[in-house]
Amino acid sequence: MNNRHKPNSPVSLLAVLLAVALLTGCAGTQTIDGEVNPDPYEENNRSFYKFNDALDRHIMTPVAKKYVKVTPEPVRDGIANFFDNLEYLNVILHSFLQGKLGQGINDLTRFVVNSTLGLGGLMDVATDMGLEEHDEDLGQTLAVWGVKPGAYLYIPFLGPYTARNSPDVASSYFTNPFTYIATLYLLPVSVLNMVNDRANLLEASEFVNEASIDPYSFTREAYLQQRRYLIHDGNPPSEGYDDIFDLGLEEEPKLVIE
Amino acid sequence: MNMILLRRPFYALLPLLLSGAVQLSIPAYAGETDVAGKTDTAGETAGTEATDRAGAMGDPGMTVAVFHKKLLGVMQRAGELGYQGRYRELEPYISNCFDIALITDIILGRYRNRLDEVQKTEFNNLFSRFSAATYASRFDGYGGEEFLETSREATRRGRMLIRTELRRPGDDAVSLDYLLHEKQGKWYIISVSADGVNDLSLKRAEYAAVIKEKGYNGLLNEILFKIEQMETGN
Repeated sequence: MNNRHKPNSPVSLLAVLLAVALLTGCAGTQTIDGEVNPDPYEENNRSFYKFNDALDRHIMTPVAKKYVKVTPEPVRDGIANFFDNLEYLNVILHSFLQGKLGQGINDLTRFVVNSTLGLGGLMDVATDMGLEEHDEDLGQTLAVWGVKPGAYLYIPFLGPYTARNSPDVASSYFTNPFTYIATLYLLPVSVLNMVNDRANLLEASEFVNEASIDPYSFTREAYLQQRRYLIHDGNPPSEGYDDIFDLGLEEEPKLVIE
Repeated sequence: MNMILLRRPFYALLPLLLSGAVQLSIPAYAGETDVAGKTDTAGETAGTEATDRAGAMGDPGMTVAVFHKKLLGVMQRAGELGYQGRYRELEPYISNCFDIALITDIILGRYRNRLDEVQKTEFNNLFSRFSAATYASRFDGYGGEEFLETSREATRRGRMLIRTELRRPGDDAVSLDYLLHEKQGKWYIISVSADGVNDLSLKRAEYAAVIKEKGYNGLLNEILFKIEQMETGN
């Protein structure tokens, strides 16, 4: 790997991400006709969406399809479990940072069990033992701490984010043990992770193409709603279900962003 | 670059879509409680009767349960029915049990007021077709799934939220939340959320973007194109 491809230093990377988050957070408070517009960069976001989509269609999907043909499903599942387990340290950190002590202990136990009895994470034995899997990240922690979501961002290679969630790129990076191993091994292992993830989502992506008539809007809306769902740990307040029926017909479509 | 490779890629939100968010993003309708294996040859009548029965019981949970049972029946006979058979069985439930007019009002938002009555009726019919086609296309097999109601809650505005789960052997359960309202003594499903993703919000955002870019006729063409794709399996 040449120098151009070396990762940025952790400090400068974090600084850039935080700066982006703050700037776009301000942009997310811009209003249109008195309504908060959570997608003030829609034009740029759409361009990046097209870029990622082209990358996916022409490179990732063909590679993933070939990968599926030569890799049995149990192997793909084992690889997915392995990487999920490594990434779980980020979940543990943010369970504790959100003050969920019991959940954090569960998550820590889950990581230890899968890393040992689960053969380094290849098998998810913790779930069978009743240790529930959770989904936490820095964006959810900031939401719990009262930080506003800011603007919706669609980032090249990475996909959808809110400004508030974008620093999680750094959090995920620093909490992943693979960050600290030699680059020589990191690249092929990371590529395997990406291809394996993509292969396991082939059916899902076909479904999106089939069901949506404007994939950009579809992705944005689904992402923002999913974030809200995760922030509320899968139990969002019931009054939110009524909101869309109480808009006047003259109102612009309103994005739920929380 | 390494950081990028370690980060879960941009399609990381797709599992939620696979789990049913889009399958159930279609306004579906409660139908009759036919027994799996029995072909519903009088679908529309049966659907109407079933809705009447569910509504007469005054129980919104019944509307959801009847719909789930119908879906399971179609899934269990998916191969035997084929796409056209699944469509024929589901279409009456789509068009008779949901409050399609309310749903399309919400989805089209302010654009709705620009349509005359004939156009509104045409759009409602097209939307019913699109919904039935999507269900027929996606519910094409059975792997031991079951639906269970987990809780219910009246909302502050007099609607009813029925929380259910789609349980799948060897896979995570999907939460399916149905919002229903009462109209003329009957309970109708007016919105479905799968793992927190709401069907109306998705479609409202999508359709507004398409109308803005291609106009109302462009939206109709896009929906017709999707239906054709599903019918031909392409």
